[in-house]
Amino acid sequence: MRVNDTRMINGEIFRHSELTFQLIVESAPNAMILVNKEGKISFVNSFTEKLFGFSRAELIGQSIEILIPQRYRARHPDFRDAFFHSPQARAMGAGRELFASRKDSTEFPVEIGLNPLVTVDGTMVLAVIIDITERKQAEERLRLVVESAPNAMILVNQDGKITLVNGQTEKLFGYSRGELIHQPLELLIPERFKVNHPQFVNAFLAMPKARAMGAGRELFAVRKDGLEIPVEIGLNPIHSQEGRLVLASIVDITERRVQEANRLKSNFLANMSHELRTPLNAILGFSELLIDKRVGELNARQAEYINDIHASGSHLLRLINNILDLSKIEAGKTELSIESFAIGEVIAGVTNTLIPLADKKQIQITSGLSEAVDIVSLDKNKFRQILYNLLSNAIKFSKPGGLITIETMSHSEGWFILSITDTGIGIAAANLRKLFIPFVQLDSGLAREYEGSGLGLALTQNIVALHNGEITVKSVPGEGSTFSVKLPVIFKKNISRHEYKNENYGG
Amino acid sequence: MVVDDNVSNLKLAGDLLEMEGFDVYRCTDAENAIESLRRLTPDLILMDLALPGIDGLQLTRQLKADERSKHIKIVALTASAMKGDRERILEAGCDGYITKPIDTRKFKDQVTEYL
Repeated sequence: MRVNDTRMINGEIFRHSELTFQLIVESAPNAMILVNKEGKISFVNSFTEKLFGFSRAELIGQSIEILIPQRYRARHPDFRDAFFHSPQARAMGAGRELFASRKDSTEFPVEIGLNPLVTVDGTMVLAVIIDITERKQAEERLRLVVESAPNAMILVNQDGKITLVNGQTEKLFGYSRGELIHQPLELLIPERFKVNHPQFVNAFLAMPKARAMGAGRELFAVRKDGLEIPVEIGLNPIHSQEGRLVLASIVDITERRVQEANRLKSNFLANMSHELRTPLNAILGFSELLIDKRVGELNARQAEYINDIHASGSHLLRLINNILDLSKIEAGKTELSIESFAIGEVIAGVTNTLIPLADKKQIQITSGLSEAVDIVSLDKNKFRQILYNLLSNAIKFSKPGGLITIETMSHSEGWFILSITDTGIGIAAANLRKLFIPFVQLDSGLAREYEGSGLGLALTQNIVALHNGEITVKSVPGEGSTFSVKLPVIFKKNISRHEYKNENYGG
Repeated sequence: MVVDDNVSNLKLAGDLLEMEGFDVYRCTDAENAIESLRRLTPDLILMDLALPGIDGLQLTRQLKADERSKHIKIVALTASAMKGDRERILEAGCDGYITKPIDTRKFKDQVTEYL
């Protein structure tokens, strides 16, 4: 703005004309200050008094630096000289944050517009000062809200360029803020979806309202490292001075997907197990009637075959039961029923049921039980299952005439160890980690000889994990193996079982 | 009375009980059972739960709510092993349950227990 007919005598402005203009200046909601080349204040409007706490008399004739915080004062005359050197209307500070100082030395953020005015007294500068405290606070509040949001938040302008991101966005996508700002949003969209994206953007802008993106489609985003992640995106149109913006809130649903898939799998297995048990009822039942000669004598061949049918049916039933147990544990549907019992009695009971099997291979079972481990508080049936699985494995994999040792011993405070040592075929070191994976049986050649479901150890490990315990194996191929189970003497539901599961199934 | 829609399982339970000396009436669904119960008064009903149409638990509730049939013992036959099934079965009014696959060697004792 250039005002040519302004007159300025003894600090009085617009003396003989432009009353209207004076009124406007006086009633302006911003501080207006006229400063001469030497930096002396020659006029202030009434809002300046209000904003800075100085009276007009206290300001007129003073150096403008009186309104500038102490730390910026020294550099100000240079800026002022630079302005008068090429005076043109512009915003002060060129991107820097500006602060002003009140009479009581308190500071506040400002925006300053500078206008040169050519007067009879020479060129002067009219500074228009706007207090932006509230705007800054609002911006800061918005920044805090966006920054503390649990989701990645991305603000996109109408050209499809990213103008703002929060920390979660950096974390989720692996890009730094600097790498994202001013980039097209398509940077975060997998290649195959990029083509169609602009048309979706246009559709959204044609009818902008807050909604979830994708309308039932599965959405994917791509990280800096190229990894695709399933996401859920909420869109919010925002109208601002910069035009129409879209705020996208992005949630990584990878974990939810995994859990959902696990839940579906477990439900499927549970239902399947139920369906599979139904026909087995007839297979096992009728073969039992024949074996027991309830409907007459069978010849040797017939008896042999019907025994095979029954044995296979029983095997199938064990398999189905194991799958069901495993899926129940994985679905978190298993609740332990904790009771106190004498561990020696349970060990003796399980051993007795397996002695016939051991006897067939002339395998001897001995036990060395610590007196310090006596009454424990665990799920009795589940403990029985752990012992049964480990002991029947030891028998299965022992050579005829072998020896199996069951031991208990105290471990650290509140924990004990149950170990079962066999003199069996042993396990190669490379295979140890495969042991607990469901359905994996070591060495397909052996699988024929040592028939099993490949579920026993997976299930055992899960049961141990439910008790917050640990199972470990030591083995020397050709000499034998020791399976050790660490369990709490008294089980308390304190540690999250998911922590343990993640550890074991993470890979 | 044995109620089971799976004919093999119906035959197994029915034949086995006859071998053990019981008189057995066989039904393949709830409607069939309700119809038969107009003429018959069995001492015990072995009830499969997964029946088509009216399921075993619904039928149990219905029979236990009826003055004429509430005294008849009902034992559920179930292949289901899910948590909460036991509670659902007893809550519906069953006097007990036997899990499938049945053990033909213990079946007689299991059934007699409820008589």
